[in-house]
Amino acid sequence: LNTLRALRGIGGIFIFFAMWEAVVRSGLAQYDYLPAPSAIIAGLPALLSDREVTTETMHTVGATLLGWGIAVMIGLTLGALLGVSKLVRDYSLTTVELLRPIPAVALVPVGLLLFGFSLQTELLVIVIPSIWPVLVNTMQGVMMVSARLRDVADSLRLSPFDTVIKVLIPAAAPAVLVGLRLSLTTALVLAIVVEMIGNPQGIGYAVVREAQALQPEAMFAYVLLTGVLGILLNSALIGLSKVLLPGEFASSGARGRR
Amino acid sequence: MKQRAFSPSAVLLWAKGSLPFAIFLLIWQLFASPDSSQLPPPSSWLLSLSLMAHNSALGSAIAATTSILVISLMLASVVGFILGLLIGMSAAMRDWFSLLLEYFRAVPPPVLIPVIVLMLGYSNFMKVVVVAFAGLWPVLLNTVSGVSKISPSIFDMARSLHFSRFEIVRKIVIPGVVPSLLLGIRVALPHAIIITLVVEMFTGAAGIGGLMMAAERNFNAPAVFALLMLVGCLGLALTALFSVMERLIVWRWSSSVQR
Repeated sequence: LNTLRALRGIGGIFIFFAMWEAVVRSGLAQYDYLPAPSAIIAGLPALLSDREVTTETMHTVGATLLGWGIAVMIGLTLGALLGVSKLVRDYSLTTVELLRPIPAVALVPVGLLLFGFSLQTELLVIVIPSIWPVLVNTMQGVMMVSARLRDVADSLRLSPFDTVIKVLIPAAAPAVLVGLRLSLTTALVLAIVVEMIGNPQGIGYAVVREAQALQPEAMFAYVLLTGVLGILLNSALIGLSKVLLPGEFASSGARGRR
Repeated sequence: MKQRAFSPSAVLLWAKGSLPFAIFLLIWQLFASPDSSQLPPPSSWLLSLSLMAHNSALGSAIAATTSILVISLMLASVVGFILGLLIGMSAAMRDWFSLLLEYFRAVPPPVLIPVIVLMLGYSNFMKVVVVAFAGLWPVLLNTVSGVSKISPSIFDMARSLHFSRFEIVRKIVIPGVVPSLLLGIRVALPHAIIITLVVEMFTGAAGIGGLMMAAERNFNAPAVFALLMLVGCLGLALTALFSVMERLIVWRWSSSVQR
């Protein structure tokens, strides 16, 4: 039954691209800059033999992972602090709720003002919004660790360090993982946004460049590449979490869906 | 965690919670030099905001941004809901679309801005298409999962009552899916705000995003920070407005048919 579902899924993709091809070939859609999928594929070898695609992909993925890494460290620390202590929560939760809804892209002009066209601008815009999913999910994960588990830790006379390592982290892990995944998606989207309007490098800039050079085939190839990148990054994280937390994974997969 | 709004204790908690932010702004105000070209003090933001409000640029920018946002979000909700119902109603359809939806969800929506600009040119229609496209996926995916969560026994019951297909959709599926639909719109809202701003920044179009980029290009730091605060407030206000609407709709429409 599962192979049938997979086959249907793959079939769906084929049908989509076949319809796209048919619509363009038949002249049903009259857009000068909508290439047929076959034309995009035909342009791929030329694009891939060019060194730039690799460099650009590395730049975008590098900035995404670096910004995400920084955001995760900040988010985990603050989230754990907020989750453990009611005092800290009382004296800062509103601040989190005030800062969180600031749309991330509004930071692009601020970054440009402070750092100009640079990697720092890119990181500023990636890091700040990527903190929130990690922070909020970690906080909630830690808060949801039941009092009974803590009592068990107490009665086993675990040291505070052991309590954190052996009880708190494993129990909060599924929620934290959801935060990590959401935040990785955010980081990739923002890396591309900054590259489009801030730091002219990487895949985001490449899409803009090809659009301005009126190269729709190359432009669509880059657009399709971003989707592949998103899926690869997400599956890499899922794979990693399966290795690190066998058993915990099942409960986190479904909740991460947006 | 939820408290009754506006009770004295809730207000006190709110004030306590915003303390770090207030202290941060206070320190900024005290230690920033008034004519700093990069980190101007908060008081200069307010001054800049009132200046912009006077020459009416601000009002029309806010109007442009919110109107694009609201129209696109409504379009995304309607289209996403209908497509979500169609795909969600049958397990086979869900299978056919599974990988395709998974893939489209992974494409960062802003990357489509140059594509759609190239195809549709610089127009309000283009903006609505881009923003609606970004808001479509959360609505669609949540609608699909909402339909698939409706308990099968309810459908059995409907069949034994000889409901027509139309009646099943109207009386069971739609009320049952409303909570998921609302969740989808709530997720779509911040995405839509972001994409609206990106479009305006990217095309330099009228709106808050365009205003911000212009301020940055003129090295008008107070205006950049003033608009940043404004955009934050706009996000808060829209989210709050939506919560109120959501509560009204759930109270009026929803039924519990989920398993």
